[in-house]
Amino acid sequence: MLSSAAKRVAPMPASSEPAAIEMVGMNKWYGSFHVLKDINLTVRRGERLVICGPSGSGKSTMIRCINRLEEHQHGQIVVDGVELTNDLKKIDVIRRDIGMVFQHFNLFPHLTILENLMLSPIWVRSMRRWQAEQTAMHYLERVKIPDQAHKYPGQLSGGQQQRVAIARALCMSPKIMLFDEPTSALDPEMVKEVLDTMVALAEDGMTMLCVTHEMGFARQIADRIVFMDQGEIVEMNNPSEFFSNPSHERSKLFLGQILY
Amino acid sequence: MLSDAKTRSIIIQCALVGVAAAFAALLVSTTFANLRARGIPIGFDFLTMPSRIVISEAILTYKSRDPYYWAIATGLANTVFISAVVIVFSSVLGLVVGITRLSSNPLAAGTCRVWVEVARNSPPIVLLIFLYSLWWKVLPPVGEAFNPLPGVYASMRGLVVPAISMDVATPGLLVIALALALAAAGWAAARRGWLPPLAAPAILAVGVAGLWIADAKFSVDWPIFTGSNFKGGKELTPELSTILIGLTIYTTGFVAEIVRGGVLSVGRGQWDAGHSLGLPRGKILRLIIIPQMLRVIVPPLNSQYINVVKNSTLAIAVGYPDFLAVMNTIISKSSHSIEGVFIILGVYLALNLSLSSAANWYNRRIAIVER
Amino acid sequence: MKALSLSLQTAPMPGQIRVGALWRYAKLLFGTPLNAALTLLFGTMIVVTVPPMLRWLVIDGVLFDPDPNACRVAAGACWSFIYAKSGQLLFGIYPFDERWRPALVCLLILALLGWSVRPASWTPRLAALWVAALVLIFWLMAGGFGLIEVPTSSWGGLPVTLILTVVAIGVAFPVGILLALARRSTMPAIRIGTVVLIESVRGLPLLSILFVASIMMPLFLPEALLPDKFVRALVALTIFAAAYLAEVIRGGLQAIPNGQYEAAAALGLPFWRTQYLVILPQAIRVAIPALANTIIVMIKNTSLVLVVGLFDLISSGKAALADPDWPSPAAETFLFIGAIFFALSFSFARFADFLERRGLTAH
Repeated sequence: MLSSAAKRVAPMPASSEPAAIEMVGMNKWYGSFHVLKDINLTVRRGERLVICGPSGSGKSTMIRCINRLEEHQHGQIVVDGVELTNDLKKIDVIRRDIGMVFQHFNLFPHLTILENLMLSPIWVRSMRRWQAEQTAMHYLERVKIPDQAHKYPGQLSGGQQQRVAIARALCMSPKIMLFDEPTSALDPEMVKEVLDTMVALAEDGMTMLCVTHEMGFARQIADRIVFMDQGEIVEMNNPSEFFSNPSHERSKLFLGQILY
Repeated sequence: MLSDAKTRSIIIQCALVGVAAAFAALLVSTTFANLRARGIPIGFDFLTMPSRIVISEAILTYKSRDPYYWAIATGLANTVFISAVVIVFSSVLGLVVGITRLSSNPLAAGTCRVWVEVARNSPPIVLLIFLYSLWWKVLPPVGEAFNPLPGVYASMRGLVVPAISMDVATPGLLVIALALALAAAGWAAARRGWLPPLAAPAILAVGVAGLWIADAKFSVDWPIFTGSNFKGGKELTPELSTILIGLTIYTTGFVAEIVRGGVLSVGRGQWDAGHSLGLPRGKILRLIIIPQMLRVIVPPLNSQYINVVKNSTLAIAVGYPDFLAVMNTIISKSSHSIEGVFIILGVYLALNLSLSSAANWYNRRIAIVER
Repeated sequence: MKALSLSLQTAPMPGQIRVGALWRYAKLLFGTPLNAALTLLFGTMIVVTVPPMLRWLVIDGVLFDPDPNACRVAAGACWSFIYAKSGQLLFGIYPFDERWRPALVCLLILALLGWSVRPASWTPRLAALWVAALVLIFWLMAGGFGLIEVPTSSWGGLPVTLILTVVAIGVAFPVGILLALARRSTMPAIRIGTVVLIESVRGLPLLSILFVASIMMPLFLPEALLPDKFVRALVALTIFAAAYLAEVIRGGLQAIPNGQYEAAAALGLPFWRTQYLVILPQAIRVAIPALANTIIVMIKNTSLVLVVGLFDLISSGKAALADPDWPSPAAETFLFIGAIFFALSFSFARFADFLERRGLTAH
């Protein structure tokens, strides 16, 4: 089982960049349920990965393991040269370097947009207030909603909230960004504004891991597409190969369902 | 090492347990030192010694020559009696008041609202003391006893109510009959998966049959006014009557709010859905509305019942010897304070635990009913 | 369906326009057989009970006559007693000339209480304000620094009730937060210990806790450290309040979605900062109605301290009744005391309702 899964993994694209994330033989169980089976994945710095697969395939769980929102039980995860263990200090260091965007935004409803953005610069990066405010306004301008700074999250549309969430993650000046189905909870007309923000981010050279079903977006920005099913990485390839010539039965089936 | 999540968690827990243990040890050692310095012995031997305390009123028969454990049992019986009577009466009254508050009749709804607000916003102890002070002011002497309900007389000397006594030839048979009834009910509920329509009559029939087999005789002893006194019935002193009436008034306010909340919690949509399935009103009520209502009502109702047990300690305010009052007398008389405190804590925790486990059992049962 | 029936009710028939309100009431009172029966039942009850009550309370009552004999003669309530004794009822045996001090304390506490339940005023500054106010209150009550000293044994009446409530809740609040967090801890020893502590306290009647505190404390502690009756009662009330507040706050914590914890973790916020900056502000807002209820329960509960010999409102009422010059109108006195408690807790309850309706508790 383990060895057959390993064989399916496509070889790394040749690159001189050092690894941003390295997962080796990573396994995770929820009780007796085997969620992630022997995951091997290396992400180079500046690389943009899109992870797709049917629901329940373990793709969200996998990226949540990278900043330790979930604990893996077996194998290795190394982020930026630091291995994730029970060591709380290392977890703190790693979380500072990783920004995450959630499906349901998870903005803090009792704080204004600006306060949401200033929270981690002040309390984690120990910035001065005025500095933090400058950083926050800078990123709000980048996601194109500086005028909403003093509103509360509940007063914004879903698309705006998700852009704020992206800006909030960027305020930590992370080295890696994780996106956990960032457009799945949005009304269709708001998907584009969020994807545009993500494309802009990708063009700036950010290391990105996106769990998403937006195949157009994947084709446009992804360096590699990772297809997962039943807790395994089934196929890993560049977008043109993946979409035109999927090598595995399960990927074909999935693409058939999602692209009609 | 200290930053490892698991190690740190173990160290923190050990440290806290250690601090707690050290604190407890300190308390215990000071306590024992204090007790030794005052020459007070420790032990539960005193329980079998004659208490020589006076308990002014008791449900059980008690004489001051009886041992301490019997005095404690007498106090406990008083507490259980008060709680049981108040729980029964306030449940029935609360149901009526709660539903009347939802009536479209402004006079009825308003009056019930006044009741609820007064009960919820006044301290029960003030209510008890106030009612107690009213007793002699409002009520006539025995000769002109006030007769609000058939068989119930109120006068300065207290309440007189009909006494119900049951004469059972073989109590064992009664127990068997009850067990049969309960088994039948449980079996029926489990089989049907919802409130069985014939469960209540079935249980009743089995119970009555059991009583008939056991040759039980009920007798109601109606009080008869003899001109200067009452013959028969059960006489309740002004103290006991005040507690029963006061706590019932108080608790009814809370039960009424719970009932009202329960009724309102089942949305109109449930009625509409029931009607659209072609169910008649009675079936909708029994199959859809009541099960959902019960689920909302039972947990707060249970904590209200526990509150009744706790509030029964207020009996002390009018001088009725409930469990806590008896224990307080025992502690000051025998100087066995540590033992007394343990008995107090143990008894109240046991009472409340048994009430909440009964509620939990019932809750699980209606959870099955719901499915 | 609902909208249809509503519109039918509100649109009056042509002939009924003039008698509108009257007609509607008549319909509500007698429209259906059930309503007519209810009206008859409650109407009779009111007619039988209210006029005699009013006669006793007002018509036959003695209002301001300072002569105690007027009460002996009158058939109604003796309000002149309450009027004459109001100072003693409200402030107990506090020195007569210094009564402005407890009066000021009461006003101060009530004003602060009203101010503090607004979520808008929930800032760290509020805590500082309370600490400052408490220092001021203790100075006003106990004296020293230019004021005549008054020992706690002479404190009495309403200020005792209010101080006990406010201090017990004030101290119990942070303790309750810690207990609530501990009860949700992933560390089993801490969680189990907290559950046992909270559930034991909540399972016991307050009176038994007050008794145990007054019986056990002299045994636990060396004689020199033994606090006075006032502090003993305060400790018992605080423990009691902390257990209840812990459950209320835990209820608020349970309402916070997991995503909030995850977002805070992803931003790198450590545990205590996550709680302080993200979780607790939201959890406490959710818990405001329940918190207001707990405060009402505590206001009512402080009335029990009379059993352990403190001079709260009820005891000062009883002391006033002992005056042999007056005919001891107990019912009126306890009605008055009950009315004070009612006013306090009723207004607080309405205020909490108002907050809930305004949606200030939601985001």
